[in-house]
Amino acid sequence: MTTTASPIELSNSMPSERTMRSMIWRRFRRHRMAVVGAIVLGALIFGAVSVSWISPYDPEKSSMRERRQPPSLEHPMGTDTLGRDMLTRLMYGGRISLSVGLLATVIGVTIGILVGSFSGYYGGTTDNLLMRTTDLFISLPRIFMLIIMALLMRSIEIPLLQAYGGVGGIVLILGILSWTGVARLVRGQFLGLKEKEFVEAARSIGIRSPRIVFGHILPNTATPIIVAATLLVAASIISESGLSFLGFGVQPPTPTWGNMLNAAQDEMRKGNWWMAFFPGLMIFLTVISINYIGDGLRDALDPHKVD
Amino acid sequence: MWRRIITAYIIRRLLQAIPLLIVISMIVFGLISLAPGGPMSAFEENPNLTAEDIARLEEQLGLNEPVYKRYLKWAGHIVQGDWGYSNATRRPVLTEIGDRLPNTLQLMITAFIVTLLIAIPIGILSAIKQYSLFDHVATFFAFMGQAIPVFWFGLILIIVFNVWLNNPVSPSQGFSLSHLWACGDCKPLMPGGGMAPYGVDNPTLAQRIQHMILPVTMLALYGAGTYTRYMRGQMLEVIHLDYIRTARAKGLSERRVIVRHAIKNAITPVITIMALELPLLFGGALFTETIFSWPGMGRLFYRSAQRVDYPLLMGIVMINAMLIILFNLIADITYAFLDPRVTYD
Repeated sequence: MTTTASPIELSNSMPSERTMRSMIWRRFRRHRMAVVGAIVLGALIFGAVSVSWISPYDPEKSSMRERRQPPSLEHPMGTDTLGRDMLTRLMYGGRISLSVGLLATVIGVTIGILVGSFSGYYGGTTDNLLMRTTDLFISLPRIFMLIIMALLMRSIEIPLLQAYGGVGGIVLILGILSWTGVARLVRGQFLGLKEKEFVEAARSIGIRSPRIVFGHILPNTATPIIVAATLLVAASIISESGLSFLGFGVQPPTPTWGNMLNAAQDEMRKGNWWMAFFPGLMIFLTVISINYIGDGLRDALDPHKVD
Repeated sequence: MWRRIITAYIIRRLLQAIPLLIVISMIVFGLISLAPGGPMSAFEENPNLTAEDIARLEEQLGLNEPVYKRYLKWAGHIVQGDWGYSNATRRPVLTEIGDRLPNTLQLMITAFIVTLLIAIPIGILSAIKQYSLFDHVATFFAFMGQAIPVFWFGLILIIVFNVWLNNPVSPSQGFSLSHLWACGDCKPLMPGGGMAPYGVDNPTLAQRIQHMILPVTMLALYGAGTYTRYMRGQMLEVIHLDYIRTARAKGLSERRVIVRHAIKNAITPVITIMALELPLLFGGALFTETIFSWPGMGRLFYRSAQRVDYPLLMGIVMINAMLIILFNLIADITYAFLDPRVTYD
């Protein structure tokens, strides 16, 4: 974690980290579904990143002659009501949907780590106050709060929040409502770790609290946080697409998997199934891949497991 | 004695819930009052009103007072049962919600029961036959169920059972299985939305059930995967406990060991967690009701959000928070009732 590691830490961690990493990789590879998940997710990410080079179509330019075409060789996933290529739009949508999930998780995990570590380390009144706040956030009716906050975000005129159909605002509210799990997890870990000898030792040589919290205890809680964060990415992607599906999330013409599903709602009742099928399939593939990866990571990172 | 303890416990829990409700109401009220527009947005676009008129209206409605004063006034009204009027329909908020709440509960409770009927037997069988083909298939489907976005699942249900498949009974040609996919004058296999056929005020029981099948399936998916896995985990844990070995050792039949000893103890925490998480179904119901035009509270919330109808939005969130607390209480009491190790202190 720290760039200015002491010589003792260095000599301790350098050689063992190599073998540790290869051991984790070996265990992860053994979880077949996790490997499949990683490959599928990798392909989705590759598509989202490379679409502007590999797709011959413009995601926003409509073509009246090619409206509502079922999947074909030219348009593998069909075209939408404005004649735009679905596959191209889905790949562009992946940029938004995947980054929303990732960024919301970064916000959620950061808040969660801060709240959880202070709560667990300091205990007493701090702990009580922070944990009551966490309970409060957990008892908020989630989707209802998301919608109300999304309405609010739409009316706040800050360019950063409004750009690309309001992506910034959606990331912010998803992050604000998703830190509670991580906070509880980190707090639990801290309660156990802060009594350990290595913390006692650090304190006895005069290291100050913030350094103990972030430099000594936190690295030891990395495993469960990594697993929780992985699963949180999937949950955030589902939340964003749900919100956009209802029309309160990212606004068109910026494509996301959720708002493409929203646009498809009336169409599928007319039998134009591909407009609803493929966006949902993308969400599903992403979420199930991430869930399997999370599962694989949990097994691979478990220090009590012996090969 | 027993009854007195329970009553005291319930009262204490309800009292603990009040501060929580107050804080939630403050947060939601605060969020809503931050939003520009609000109740005055309708007037601001009216060309016949000058800026002075609007200022006078705001004065009359008390909108230029500080937030905390407005909150106190609003909270005072809420306590007295005056929840205000919908901006869109001008009907009282409580009437609007009261009209829809039973429909939502009907949907949720049916879905809850269906989830139980799926998750518990499959979870138990999976655990008893751990690592069998059945277990692998069940686990795979449970994992899929957890990853499928519910709203997408709802759309797929409509495409397959409403748009693609027909009722195999044709009015002109009678019954034939091939009518399922090819038929000129057949009706859809399943209705695509609503609680009754269009224009029918007093639907028959069969019609009601027909209209519930797809929405309930969609909503039941919400928890089926999660609880199947949970039931399996609980069962696996119990199977390896000492008293099960004792039961086997004293010569009980395997069937008796599983049914009388293992299931009974594994099922309690599962049902409790399900009851505790039942309010999560309100969120699922919002999607289900929106997709299937089910006239419930979730759809009301969706419509109110589209119209930015703040009094109704506030009202629904508050009712929701109250129901969540109520369900938690019920779950706690059920748990204590089922598990004699829990004490009320």
